[in-house]
Amino acid sequence: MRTLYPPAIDRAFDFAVANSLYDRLAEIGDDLNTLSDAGYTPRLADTWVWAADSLSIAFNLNPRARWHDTQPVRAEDVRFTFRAYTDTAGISVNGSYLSNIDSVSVRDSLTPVVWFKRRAPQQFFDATYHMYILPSHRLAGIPMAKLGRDSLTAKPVGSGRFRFVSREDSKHIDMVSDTGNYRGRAKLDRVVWAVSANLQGATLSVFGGDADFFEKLQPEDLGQVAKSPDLKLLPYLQAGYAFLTFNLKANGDSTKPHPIFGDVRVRRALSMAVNRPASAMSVLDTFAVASFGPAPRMMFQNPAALKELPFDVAHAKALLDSAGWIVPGGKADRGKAERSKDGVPLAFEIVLPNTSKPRLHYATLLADQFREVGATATVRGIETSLMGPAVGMGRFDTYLGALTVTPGLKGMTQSWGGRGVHGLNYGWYANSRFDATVDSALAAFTPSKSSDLWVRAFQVILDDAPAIWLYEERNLGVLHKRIQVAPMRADAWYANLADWSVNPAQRIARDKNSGAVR
Amino acid sequence: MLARLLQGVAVVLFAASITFFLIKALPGDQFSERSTNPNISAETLARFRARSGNDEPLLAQYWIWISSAAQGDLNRSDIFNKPVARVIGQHLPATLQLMSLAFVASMVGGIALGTWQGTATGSRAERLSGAVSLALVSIPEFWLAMILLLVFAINVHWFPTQGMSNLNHDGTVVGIILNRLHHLFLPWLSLTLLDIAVISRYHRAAMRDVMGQQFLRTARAKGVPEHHIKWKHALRVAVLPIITIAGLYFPALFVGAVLIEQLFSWPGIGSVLPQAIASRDYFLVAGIVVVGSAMTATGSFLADVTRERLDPRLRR
Amino acid sequence: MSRASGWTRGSAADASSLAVTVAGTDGNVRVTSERTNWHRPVALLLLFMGLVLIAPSFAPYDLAQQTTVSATKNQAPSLLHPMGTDATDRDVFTLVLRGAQISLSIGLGSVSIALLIGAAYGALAAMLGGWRETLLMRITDVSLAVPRFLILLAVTSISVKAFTSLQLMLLIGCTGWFGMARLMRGEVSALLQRDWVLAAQATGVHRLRLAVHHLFPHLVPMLLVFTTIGIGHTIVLEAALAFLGAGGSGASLGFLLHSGSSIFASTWWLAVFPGLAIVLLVFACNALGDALRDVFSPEQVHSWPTT
Repeated sequence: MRTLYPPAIDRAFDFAVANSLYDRLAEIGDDLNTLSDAGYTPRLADTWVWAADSLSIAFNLNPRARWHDTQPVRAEDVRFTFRAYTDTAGISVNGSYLSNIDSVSVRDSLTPVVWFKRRAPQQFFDATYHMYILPSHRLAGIPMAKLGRDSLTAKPVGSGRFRFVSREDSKHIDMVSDTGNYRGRAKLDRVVWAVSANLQGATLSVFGGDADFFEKLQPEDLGQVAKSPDLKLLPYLQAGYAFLTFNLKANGDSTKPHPIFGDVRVRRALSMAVNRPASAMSVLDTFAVASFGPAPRMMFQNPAALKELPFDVAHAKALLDSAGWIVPGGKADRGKAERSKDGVPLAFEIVLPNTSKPRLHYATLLADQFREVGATATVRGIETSLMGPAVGMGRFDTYLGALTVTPGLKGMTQSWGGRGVHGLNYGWYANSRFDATVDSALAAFTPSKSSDLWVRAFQVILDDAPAIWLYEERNLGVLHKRIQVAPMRADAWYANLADWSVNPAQRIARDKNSGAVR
Repeated sequence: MLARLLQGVAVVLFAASITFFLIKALPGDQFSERSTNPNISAETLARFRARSGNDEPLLAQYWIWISSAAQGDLNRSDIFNKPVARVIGQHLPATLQLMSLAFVASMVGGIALGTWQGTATGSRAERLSGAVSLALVSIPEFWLAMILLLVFAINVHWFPTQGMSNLNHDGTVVGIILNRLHHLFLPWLSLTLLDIAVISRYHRAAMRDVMGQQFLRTARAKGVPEHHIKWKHALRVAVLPIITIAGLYFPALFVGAVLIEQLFSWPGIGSVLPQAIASRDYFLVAGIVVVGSAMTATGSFLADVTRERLDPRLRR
Repeated sequence: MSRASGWTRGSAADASSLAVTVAGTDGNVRVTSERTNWHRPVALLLLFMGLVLIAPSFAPYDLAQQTTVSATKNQAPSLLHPMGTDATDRDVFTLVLRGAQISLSIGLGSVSIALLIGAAYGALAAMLGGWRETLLMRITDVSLAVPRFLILLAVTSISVKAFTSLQLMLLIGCTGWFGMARLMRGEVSALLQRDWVLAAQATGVHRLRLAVHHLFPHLVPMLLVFTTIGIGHTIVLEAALAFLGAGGSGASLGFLLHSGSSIFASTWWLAVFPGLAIVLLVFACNALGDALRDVFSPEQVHSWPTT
């Protein structure tokens, strides 16, 4: 728990809590559509009106919307929020997605107007998704540089269906249902977020009956759930994927191509050496599917239209042969001898954060399968803080990473585009055709045009094989049987927390206590 | 006395300084974790980096930190977004609660056990308990904690597994206290069982040595009952080295805290430290070391002083 | 303290040297039976350690041969796999054997390094005497006050390259010699006061020869006990570091504990057995130390770590 000040939030846990306390102007639909405003449901904004030239949207705020301290929500709040998110003197980290918004003006006390720099398909998404509206009457007086400091924002006042009660670092955060809320109170009376030191701890709390829900169960603990009469499993989609990216430049020296991975044939060969569905199955059972490219299935309209590299060990070996990586003459032992070319052995390292067990497991499987085609891979888990100095600086051979994807695939330019090579594009992949097609796809206004362009862009990157697209994980939540949940959105399982409820017939002792409002 | 105090202060500053340089020297900085977050742009990170003062010459950074630390300002924690002193102030009580209870119990238990063992030489029970002590002393406390958790909290739900308290109480003061004790028990037990063994082994040796001494033979000749000999006269002398050991307990406190608190999600200083190191929260790590060494120095100081007061031979 | 702590004062030897001033040297009557029975336990324990070091060569399964079939992963202990399997189908018993070998070798290596440095330093200090001795001892005192565990944790948890066993040995050894130095200096100082030493010096025996031939045999018992207890300490220390995710020696018992601890609720054998191995190893070391101490104790009770 670092902060509950939305512009400064960078952790999933903090978002989960803030999402219940604050509201957006409008909430994205479960389909995570970012083209136009289809599927969005009203939140603080009841209705909205597009200007004729589509360069601005006027939102009509719900007149009944109130802050938790009973003050009414005003247009000024939206203008202030935009400033808080984008002012570089402050501590906001989430302002970069608002780059297409020029400003927010106030037409009258209930009508903020968002002005855009250019027409783009994601205008509505930009205006609504990234900003949690903040109470200007409480925060406007504080100097920007100090805004967000814990002492000043320790007691968050929002407009959400849950109201903040108390918080003790490393222990818990307490919130209760906001009974007078303009959208109706949350169905749960009270939610306590208990902080655990690690994954296992959180899981133990649920198994021990101390907690009711945890959103990231490990596959090994499945058996435990089956054994327990009170718990049920809750799998849900996650908007992310895991991949093995090749460093296209030399390890530690970006002026030269990588001696092994600079050659597209090697990359394609290694991709074909991996049986991705079987490996995903081995690591995560039925809770993962093989990935097809740099996006999760649910965010891509037409994955079937893509031509993926098949699993074909013979073809992989042939490709490696033709690329000059050959087995030292005469050795005919089961074809597992290490290949080499001009004295350079086909050996490299797979680097990954040591926090993810499934990825570690997958890495060992990769090493096995690479060995089958004569490549020696060693697996090395490193600490997350070292990702920057190691991977971020290009000092690696291959990196097993995972990304969560924001709706609309806007992050594509950062993750795999030429512009991202100093950012998240660790492997230095830069293909101008890919970049151009992605830009066009992001600028496409209709779903069909967008889908076509994305398919074309993805085909380019799939052919280039700068990475092996490993798997998409389904998240496993574990839940106490008496809790009934609302649909879990892939980008935010907590999005509909206010609609979760306790089955009255299955109440336990603790539930009686929860009725008390402290 | 004053010299000792100054020495203690010097040691604290020295330890904290070493830690400061060490953690600054390591690769990565407090923004490294966030650099893998796709939502945060590279420009934002660069901006934060520029503001953080990390690019200043290292000695300058050190000087700024040490001069304010000397005045009591330990700067701000990055991961908790509040002053370091507050973070420590919020987390230290939990650690102290757990550790002081374990300390008292293991001292009392260890001395009692050691006295019995040291004076009942040769009996079966004594040799058996000696072997058990040896075994216990060989067990790492985090492993024992896992076993206890497995057996008593996971297999059967007799005890809670995590945290200091939860909602499973009836709201009354007694209920809340019982809930707290319920959560305290397993972590406390993991520490106490082992420490009793450790202390009893020291004490047993000390008792054995004392029991053969001249002055006790005199007391026996005077007709003092054996029971008194053991538990009053001999004990009074043998307990002196234990006091010195008690002074060494403080540093062990923090280490044990780190391991146990991880397992039980006990919200103390020990659970904060690994996080702080991993996130390169320089000021928080340095602050914890300052507080930790200060407590260590105080502990040994108190122990030495107490020992001197009680031991007539060490008095000048 | 002989558990995972040992934050500042290297080994428990310091505390015990104080335990002894209680005993004093007047009128001490000790029972000296069982002196000759020490052969058996010492021999057994040494044999045990030797076995641990070579055991992996006789392990039932080959760790390098992994399968991609998930059929045998995460299996509970059974006849085929007495300690179960882990998530990548590896036999836990084999892993434990290899881990024990690595942990024990790290223990031996670090303690040897600490012993060499500390003994030389302490003996030197004692023989130099005067202000030089005081200075050298001040340095160790301050070093002892530095939070060793914290420093080790910080250094080992953050390394771009993995730590090899050798590097860990060096790290732990080079930070753990302060206690030995103090002990050594105390012992050598005391010995130097003895009449026969003064006599030897008076007859012009060269300093170095004095040290090696005359003093050394008297110090051996103490060194032996320090070593055995120290090995136990180091194994637990390394396990503690690895348990927290630090210390990149990816195959030691501590590391096994670390990976097992994140899922021990369901796959308990992954954490319990490596821990048990640690307990056995440390127990053997401590028992050995105890046995050795009992052997030499009548004359040398004042030098001994009594853990």
